[in-house]
Amino acid sequence: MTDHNHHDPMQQLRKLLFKEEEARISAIEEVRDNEELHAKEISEVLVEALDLRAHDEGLGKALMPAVETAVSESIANDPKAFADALFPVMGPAIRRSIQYAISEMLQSLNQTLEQAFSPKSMLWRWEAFRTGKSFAEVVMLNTLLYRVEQVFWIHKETGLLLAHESFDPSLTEDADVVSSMLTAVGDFIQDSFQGSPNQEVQSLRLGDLEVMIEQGPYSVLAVVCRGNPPRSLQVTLGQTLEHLLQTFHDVLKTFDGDTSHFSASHDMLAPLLLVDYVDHEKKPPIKLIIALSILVISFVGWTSWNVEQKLALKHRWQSYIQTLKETPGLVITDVDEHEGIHHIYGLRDPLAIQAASLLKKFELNEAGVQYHFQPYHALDHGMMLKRLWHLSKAPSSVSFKIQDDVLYVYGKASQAWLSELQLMTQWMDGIALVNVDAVDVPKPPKTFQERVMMLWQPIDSVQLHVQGDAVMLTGSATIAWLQQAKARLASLKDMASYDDHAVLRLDSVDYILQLAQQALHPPRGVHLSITKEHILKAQGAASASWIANAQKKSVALKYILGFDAKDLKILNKVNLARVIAALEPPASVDLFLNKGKLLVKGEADGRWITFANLQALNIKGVQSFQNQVKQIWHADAVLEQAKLRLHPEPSVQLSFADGVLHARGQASKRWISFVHREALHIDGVFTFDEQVDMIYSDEEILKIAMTTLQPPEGVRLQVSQGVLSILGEADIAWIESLKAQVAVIPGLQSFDIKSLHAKAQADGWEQLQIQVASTRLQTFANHPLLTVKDEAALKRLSNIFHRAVELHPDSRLHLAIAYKRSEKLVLMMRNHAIHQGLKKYGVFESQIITDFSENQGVKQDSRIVFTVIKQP
Amino acid sequence: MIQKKICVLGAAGVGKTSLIAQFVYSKFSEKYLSSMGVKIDRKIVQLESQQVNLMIWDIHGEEKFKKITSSYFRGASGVIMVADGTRPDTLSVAQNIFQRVEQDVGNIPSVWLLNKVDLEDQWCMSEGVVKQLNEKYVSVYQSSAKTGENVEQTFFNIAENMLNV
Ligand SMILES: Nc1nc2c(ncn2[C@@H]2O[C@H](COP(=O)(O)OP(=O)(O)OP(=O)(O)O)[C@@H](O)[C@H]2O)c(=O)[nH]1
Ligand SMILES: [Mg+2]
Repeated sequence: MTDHNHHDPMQQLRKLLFKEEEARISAIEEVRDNEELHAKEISEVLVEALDLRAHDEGLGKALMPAVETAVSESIANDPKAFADALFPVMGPAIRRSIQYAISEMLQSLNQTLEQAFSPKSMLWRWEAFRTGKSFAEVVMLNTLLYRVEQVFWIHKETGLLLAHESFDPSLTEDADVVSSMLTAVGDFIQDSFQGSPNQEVQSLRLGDLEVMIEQGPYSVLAVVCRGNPPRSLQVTLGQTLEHLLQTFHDVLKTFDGDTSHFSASHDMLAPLLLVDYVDHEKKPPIKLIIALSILVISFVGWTSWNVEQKLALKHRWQSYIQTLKETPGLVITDVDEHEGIHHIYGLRDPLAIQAASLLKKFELNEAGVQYHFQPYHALDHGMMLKRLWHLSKAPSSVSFKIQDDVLYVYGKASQAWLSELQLMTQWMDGIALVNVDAVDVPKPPKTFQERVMMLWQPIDSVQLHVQGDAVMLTGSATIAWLQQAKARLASLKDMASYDDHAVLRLDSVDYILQLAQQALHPPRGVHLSITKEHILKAQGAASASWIANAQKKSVALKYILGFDAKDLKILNKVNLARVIAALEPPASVDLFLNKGKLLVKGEADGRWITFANLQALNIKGVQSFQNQVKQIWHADAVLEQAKLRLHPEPSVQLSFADGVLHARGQASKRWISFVHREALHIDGVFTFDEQVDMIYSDEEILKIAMTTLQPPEGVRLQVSQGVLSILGEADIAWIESLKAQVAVIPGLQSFDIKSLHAKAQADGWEQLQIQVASTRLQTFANHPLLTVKDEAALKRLSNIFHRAVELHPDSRLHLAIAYKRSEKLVLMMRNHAIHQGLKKYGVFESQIITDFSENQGVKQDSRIVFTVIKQP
Repeated sequence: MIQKKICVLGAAGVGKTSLIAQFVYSKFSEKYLSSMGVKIDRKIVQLESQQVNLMIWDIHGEEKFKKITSSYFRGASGVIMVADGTRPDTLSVAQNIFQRVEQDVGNIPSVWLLNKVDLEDQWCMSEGVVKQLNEKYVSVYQSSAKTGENVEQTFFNIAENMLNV
C-alpha cells in the first residue's frame, strides 16, 4: 500500500500541496479520539464557558442534580465541618426566626397577665410590715428575675479558660478550675447518657443557680445565673459567641494554652453580666379604692356625731389663748386652725413658763396644738430679774433691784462673781449700769503655794512642786541642805505631806561610791567602799599599776577626802611552768593561761580530771579554772565495772572495745531485758551490742504455745525440758495445721503428738462449718493484697474445704463479707486476691459464693466471714 | 500565663488521687475513696523560663466494666501514667490506656510512675522491668504519694516537656 502510494503521482502531488494540513488534521483527530487530552482541553475553557452562560437559567437547572448529590454526600460524610462553615451564616438567620416566634409568644403572655387583677403589691406591703423589712427590700427580693453572676469563655477541646468576667471580683480565683470542671461535667453527662458527640449539654441547674452553655466551634460560652434567666439570654450568648469567633478565629484555631491573646474579649463579655427585675406597673387596685371609700364614709359619720363637743371645746380654747396673752414672757401674734390642728404663732422668752403646761387647766389635748414660737428676751423687770438670777448663778446671799436702768446689788459676794456679773450685764438690754457699792466683798486668803514661797525659796538645782497642800521636791542637793529645808517648812501647820525622796543626795555614801566605781573601774578582785569620814577604801588584790592610777584619780573626786589602800594586796603574775609543776597533766591535755584564768582542754582519765579540779585553784595566782577535758576510759576498768553491775549469767561472755559493750552466748529472757535497762548506765559504755540467744523456760514455752495453737477443748499441752507434748482428742483439721504452727514457737526443741487422737468424723459437717466460721482474714487499709497471716488462714480453709467436698461432693465455700469500708473490699475482690489465694490450694472460683450484703452491722474492722454450705 | 491540661491515668487504686493531693496540698491519707468521674485541681508551677498553670485532671481508675472514655483526655497536653509497683497487673492496664491516648490525642509527652515505692517488702518491680520501661518511655520514676518521693519531679518534668514540644 505504501509502495502504491509512493508511486501514485496524484498522491505525491497531494503530499506536496497539503503536507502541513495533513499533519494538522491528524493532530485534531488525535485530540478527538484521546479522552485524556479531550478533558484537558475542556478544562482549560470550562471556567470561561460557565461564565459565559452564567445568566442562562438552563445551566443552573442542568447542574442542579449533580450539585445536590455532591452536597448531600459531603454532609453525610462529615456534618460537623459543614455546620462549622455555615455557622456564621445560618446562626443569625435561625436566631432571627426563633426570636420572632418567642417575641410573639411573650406578647400574648403579657396581655394575659395584664388583664388579671393582682393583689401582689398589697401582699408585699403586708409582708414588709410583718417582717420588719423595708418595702423596697421586699420588692427587690420578689422582683429579682435573674442576674448573670459569672461569664466563662472556655476553649472547647482542652477545657481551659480563655477569659472570665464576674459581677463580684472575689469570685475570679477558681474560675480556671470551674471552667475545666464544666467541660468535664459535660463529658461526664454525655458519657453517662450515651449522647452522640453532636448532642451537647445546654444548661445545668444547681439550686438557685443555672448554668447556661452555648456551644460553638472551638469555644464554649457558659454563664452562671441566679434566678430564672429568660431564654432570650441564650440568643444573646449565641450572638456574643459568634462575635468572639469572628474576632479571634485565627488565635482560637491555634490555641496552645496562652490566654494573653484574649484580653480584648472583655468588651464583648462584660455586657453579658445582665440583671433584670420584674416590672410591676399595674392598673389601680380596685379593692384598695373601695377600702379607702369605706374609711372616708365612716370618718364623716364620726365627725358629725362629735359636733357638739366641738363647740364647747372652742370656748375653752379661746380662754386658753387669752391666758397665754397675759403671761409674762409670751407674746401671741397669730392663731389659726389647719386640718384639725391649732397653730399658735408668737414670741417666747426661754425663761417664761411653757405654754403647753397650761393646756390641762382648760381640758385641751396636747396633740391638737402646735406652737410656733420665736425666742426673744422680754424686758419687763420681772423677767429681767429672773434672767439675771438664772444666768449669773447668784449666791443666795445676794439680792437685786432694778431702777431707772441701774442694777443695784446687795448682800455678800466674792470679787470674782462681781466681776463676772459686771461683764455679763454689759450685754444685757435694760441695764445701763451696775451699782455694787452696797456689796460686802470678803478678802480671799493666801494660797498654800504663796505661803510656801513666802517662807522659803529653793536653790536652782531643786524644783518645788505644790499640789493642793502637798509639797514635793525633785532635782539634786546635799543632805545638809535638804535637812535645813525640811526644818523651815515644818512651821506650815496645814501642809498635808512633804516628800523629798526623789532628790538626788549629792554627798550620800551610795552616790559617791557609784561615782568612784565609774571613775576607777576596779578589777574583779577589788572591793571599794566609803567610810563615814568620806575616805575611799579599797580591799582585795590588784596590780600595782591600777593602785597607783586609782590613788591619783580619787583625789579629783568630789566629796571624797582620801584613798585608803592599806588592805589592798599587790598581785603577783602566775606562770605556766608553776601550773604544770602543780598539776602534772598527761600529754593529751593542753593548758591555757591568760591573766590568771586557767583553761584545760584535751582528753584524760577521770582520776586526773578530779585531781585537777581539786588542785587548780590552790595554785598561787590562778583566779579561775575552767575544765574542758573529755573523760576517757580504760577498757579493763570499764569491763570490770560492767561485770560487777550486770551479774552476767554463766553462759554469757562480755567484752568491751571502743565504747561498745558486747554480750554473746545464751541467757534467760529476764537477764536480757535487765541488761538492756542497765548497760548504758555504766561509765564509758556508749553502745550496747547484745547478740545473746534467749533461753526459754518451760513455762514460757507453754504460754507461747497456748496462744499460738489455741488448743480446742479436749486437748492438753505440756512442756518439759523444751519438749512440747500434745495430748487428748482434736479434729483432723486442727491436727493437720499443727506442724506449720509449731514451727514458729521459739525455744521449742521438738514436739510429741503420740497421745493426740483424731476425733471421730460422725458429726463432721457441723464441725466443719464451725471451723470455717471461726476463720478470720485480716486486711490492711492501704494495701489490697493478702498478707502472710492471711495465707496461713487460707491454707487451713482449703484443707477444711477439701474434707467438706469429701463429705458432700457438691458443697460450696460461702464467703460472707462483713465490712466497714466497702471500697476497700471491692478492691480486694476486684483483684481476686482471695480467689487467687484459694486457687493455690485447689479451691476454684466456681466453688466459692461471695456475698457482700451480709453482716453490714459490723462496726469495727474489715472482716471476712467464711461458711461452708451444702448446695441445695 | 500559659495554661496546660494534663491527665493522670491508670488502674483503680494505684494512687492517682493521692499523688495529686501530695503535689497540690502536700497531704496524704491512708484512706481509700475510689474516684468517680473526674476531679480537677490547679497548681501554678514556676519553671526556669516561665510560669505554667497546670490544670490537673484526676480521672477515675480504669476497670473492667468502667473503661475510661477518650473524651476525658481530649485536648490534654501531657499525661501521667500511674501503676502500682506492688501490683504488676496495673502496669499492663496503664500501657493499654496509653495506647488509646496515642490513638486519640497523638504523640504527647508522658511521665510513667511506679507508685507506692515506700512499701518495700511488697515491691514487685524488678530492675529489668524498670529498665525496659525506661527505654520505651524515657521519663520513668519510682514514686510514693506517701513520702512524696519523686512527686514534685514528676509534675515539673511533664511541665518542662509540654512547653518544649
Ligand atoms: N503506702 C502507700 N500507699 C499509697 C500510696 N499512694 C496511694 N496509696 C494508698 O492507696 C490507696 C488508693 O489510693 P488513691 O490515690 O485513692 O488511688 P486512685 O488511683 O486515685 O484510685 P481510683 O480513684 O479508684 O482510681 C489509698 O488507700 C492510698 O492511701 C503510696 O505511695 N504509698
Ligand atoms: Mg482517685
